[in-house]
Amino acid sequence: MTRYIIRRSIHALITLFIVSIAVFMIVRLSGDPVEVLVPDEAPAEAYEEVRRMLHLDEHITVQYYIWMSKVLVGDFGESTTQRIPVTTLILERFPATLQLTVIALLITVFIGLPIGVYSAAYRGTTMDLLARGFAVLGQALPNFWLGIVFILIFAVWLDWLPAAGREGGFEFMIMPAVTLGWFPVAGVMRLTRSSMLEVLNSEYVKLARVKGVRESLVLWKHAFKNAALPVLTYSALILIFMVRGSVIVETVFAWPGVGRLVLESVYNRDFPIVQAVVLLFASFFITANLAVDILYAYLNPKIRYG
Amino acid sequence: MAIPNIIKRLHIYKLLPKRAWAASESDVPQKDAPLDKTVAAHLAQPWWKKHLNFVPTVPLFIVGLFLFLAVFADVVSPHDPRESNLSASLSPPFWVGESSFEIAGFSFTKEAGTLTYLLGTDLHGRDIFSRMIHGSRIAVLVSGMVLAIATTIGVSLGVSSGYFGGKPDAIIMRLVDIMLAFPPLLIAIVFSVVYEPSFRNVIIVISALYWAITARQVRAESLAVKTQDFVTLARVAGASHLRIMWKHILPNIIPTVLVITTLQVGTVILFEASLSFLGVGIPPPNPSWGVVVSEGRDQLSTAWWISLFPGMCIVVAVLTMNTLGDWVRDRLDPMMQHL
Amino acid sequence: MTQKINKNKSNTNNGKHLLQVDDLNVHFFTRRGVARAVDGVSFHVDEGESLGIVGESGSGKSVTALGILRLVPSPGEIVQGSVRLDGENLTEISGQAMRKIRGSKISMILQDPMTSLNPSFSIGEQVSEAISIHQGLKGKSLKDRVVEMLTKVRIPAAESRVGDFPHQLSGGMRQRASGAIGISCTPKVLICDEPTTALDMTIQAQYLELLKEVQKETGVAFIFITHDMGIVAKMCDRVVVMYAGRIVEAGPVIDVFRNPSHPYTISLLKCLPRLTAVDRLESIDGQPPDPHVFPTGCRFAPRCPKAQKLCREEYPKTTVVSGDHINACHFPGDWN
Repeated sequence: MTRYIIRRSIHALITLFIVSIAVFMIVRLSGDPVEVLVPDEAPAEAYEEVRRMLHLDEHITVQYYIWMSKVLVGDFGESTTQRIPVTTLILERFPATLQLTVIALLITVFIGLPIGVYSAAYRGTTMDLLARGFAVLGQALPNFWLGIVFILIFAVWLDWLPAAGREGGFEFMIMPAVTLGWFPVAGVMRLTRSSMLEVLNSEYVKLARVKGVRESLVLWKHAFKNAALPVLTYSALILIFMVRGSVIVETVFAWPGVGRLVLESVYNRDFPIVQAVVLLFASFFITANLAVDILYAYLNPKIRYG
Repeated sequence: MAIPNIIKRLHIYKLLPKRAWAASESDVPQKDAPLDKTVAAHLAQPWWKKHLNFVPTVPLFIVGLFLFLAVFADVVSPHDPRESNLSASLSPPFWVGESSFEIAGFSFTKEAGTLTYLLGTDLHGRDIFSRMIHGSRIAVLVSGMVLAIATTIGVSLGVSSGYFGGKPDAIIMRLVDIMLAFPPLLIAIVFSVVYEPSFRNVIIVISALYWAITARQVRAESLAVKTQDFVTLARVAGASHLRIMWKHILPNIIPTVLVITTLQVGTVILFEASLSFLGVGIPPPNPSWGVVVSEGRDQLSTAWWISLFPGMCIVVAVLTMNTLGDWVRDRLDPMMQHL
Repeated sequence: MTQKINKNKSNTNNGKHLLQVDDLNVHFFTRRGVARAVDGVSFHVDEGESLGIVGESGSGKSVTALGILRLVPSPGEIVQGSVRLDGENLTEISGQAMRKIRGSKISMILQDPMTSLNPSFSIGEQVSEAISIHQGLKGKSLKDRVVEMLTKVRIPAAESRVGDFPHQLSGGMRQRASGAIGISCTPKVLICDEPTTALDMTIQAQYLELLKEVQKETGVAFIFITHDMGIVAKMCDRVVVMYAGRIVEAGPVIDVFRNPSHPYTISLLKCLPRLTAVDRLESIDGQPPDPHVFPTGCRFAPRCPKAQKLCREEYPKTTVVSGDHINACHFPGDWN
């Protein structure tokens, strides 16, 4: 198993490396950053000065190297619009995004999984049909629209919850978190259900029943343990979706997180921030994928003891 | 019933009614068997349940409707989607009556909805209903073109990768991994900054991100097909690589491709809508559904109809395509549950 | 319609059998209609004896076993009939009570150990599960019992293999582990579904020997479900031949083999490869009927070499050939 882990880790590192190059290149393509920094009236030497400061006179690989070495120590430069280190900005906004994501994840796991399991166990009943209907609907709803509908219903018409912002309290968190978690819950539910159905038809589940095992144990100990594997690999996709979703959800609910930061930076053409966030997100995905691969290898006895 | 050769060869004959291709008699339910009471009770199912098994009539009808609207949008929609009429600004849907409210001692009346503007108008006085109809044209165009491009690239690369193996395979798959490692939304956002948001750019960006999914799946299928005997036979007979890929491998992966494509239409529509909503997709004043929803955000408390109805269109479109995709998958190969 | 084997003739003192199945009907309510997989089946098993249930796939033999254990999967249901273990009717007791009986008084060894062993648990855990549920053992005494069971099925170095996973064992070992699970709570009746289909020829004989020894030691009653007449000949005292959901012939193995009367049984025996025969292997033409639409009259008639007009019109009544040997045929006996 260690060989497998090492192989996957190297693979991940290489991907990460290539992604960083891509990120670096993309932003470079956008035009001359010097133009943005230096006011129009400045004399030519000012341009030269800035150019040299930013190392733009050197070969592109050198530029990359310089940039990369700074990144690795956590220095992403300064925001062009706010003159604050990018790292500070990101760290400031990060807890908000983390909060949303964690709650959405909890909802996904503690609602999506059990409903999927029981939906499979009580296949064909009204509960199953309702759950499946919800799941199908859930995967078709655009999350920005869902957020807006929630705001319409709960904030504008019923006035139960605040429409936006993150002042404190639970009531600010609940709508964005539910909106963010909606799609993953639907996906997890469907996947768990189909995975469970397959497993529930297997011979070893039959044997467990033959042995006289209690049905709830059959469901969770015997069936679920095997059914969980595909759901686990899907969880990497969920994390990815949460990240993408956070940009939208934070925008709709004016939630001060990293997602919204990135969007604002894009509007303001604040490239250092965009660069940093994209790189961070990409590294996050790659790491998440790697972690899931390792977890899968650990849980699957064929790979672990193979 | 004779099945056209092309359908047989592409392995999509299973999409036809079972009567046409079921080999053994026992696959088709027998009608003249003697029934006793329990059996008769069991067989007395509602007619619509039996019908559902073959054709997904409702989804197909809806898809047809969208296609029709897309093509004939100019003719069908009551108004020009870009024509603004400030006097009718923020008119509500036709069923909403007049209402009045007070602010700081002054009373205002909100106009009632009219039949001229069925679902209301936005801030500029543009008819929402017409905008929605033209929005379907954008949705159809975008998803159609994206999928055409992404599928073509994905299939070509996927088949080549699976068939040739070795170095080309490694390179292509590494490329796929990288493409899939990027957060799609963010990349699209970044792209829109570098290059001004436009219809063409949206297509490029989404295609670039979606071909990888197809490629990966197609590669797996090609690997499986490659090992089959008829491929070896063709090789022995001296067929060129291109011929083998085109004549032998490609037809066998068509079912998978069909399933992936239909299932992805919904995702593409959602993605484009999200991009447009954020302002980095189809630029306003083009009436992409996402754009209209975002336009309605500022007026949410007073003009809820602007955001609500186009969003419903998105839901219906995506739901329909997902259902259709599921049906295609179930008919062609129920084993493909993992897709 | 039912076929009753004379209940009162038995070896036990008061005429009661260990397991008595009466008029068992298991139907599946599918989209296409009702499949009458088991359509009125009665038989019995006594302590320490081995019963063989023989038939092709689709005859309903596996479903009968599931019916005994009340594990018929949906959309199937036991519509009629009784299954009595030591006099107690299993079809009427509560689900909880049935669960206590499953695995402890009646157990089953499934057909393919590759799929019937859970890939996520070690064989030690799987063997111990039934024991801990029914006998309440824990900790060391549980582990000892597990090792005892594994040793009984002749798994070498059982103590060290307790933590092994199914994919780490060879096919033969897996079958034995499966067997260990079956006997772990010393059941009174052990159902073996196609005991040797998943095994190589060389291991088959060993495994069957092992089963015989277990029976000698514990006095367990076996029900062998198989399509292989050879196993019946080797292991069983009595046999029941099923076709299309019903019993077509039944009786002591010796009688049925020496004097087969139903054409289906005769055909089955003819299919066995013999040492002396040099001709082609025989096979029975045709397919078993679709359980959704059984033909009127005798269900074997479409494939029977002796079929006549009466066979296609009327279902044959059960007749006694001699003693316990019965069949259901209008024109029993060989056709040559």
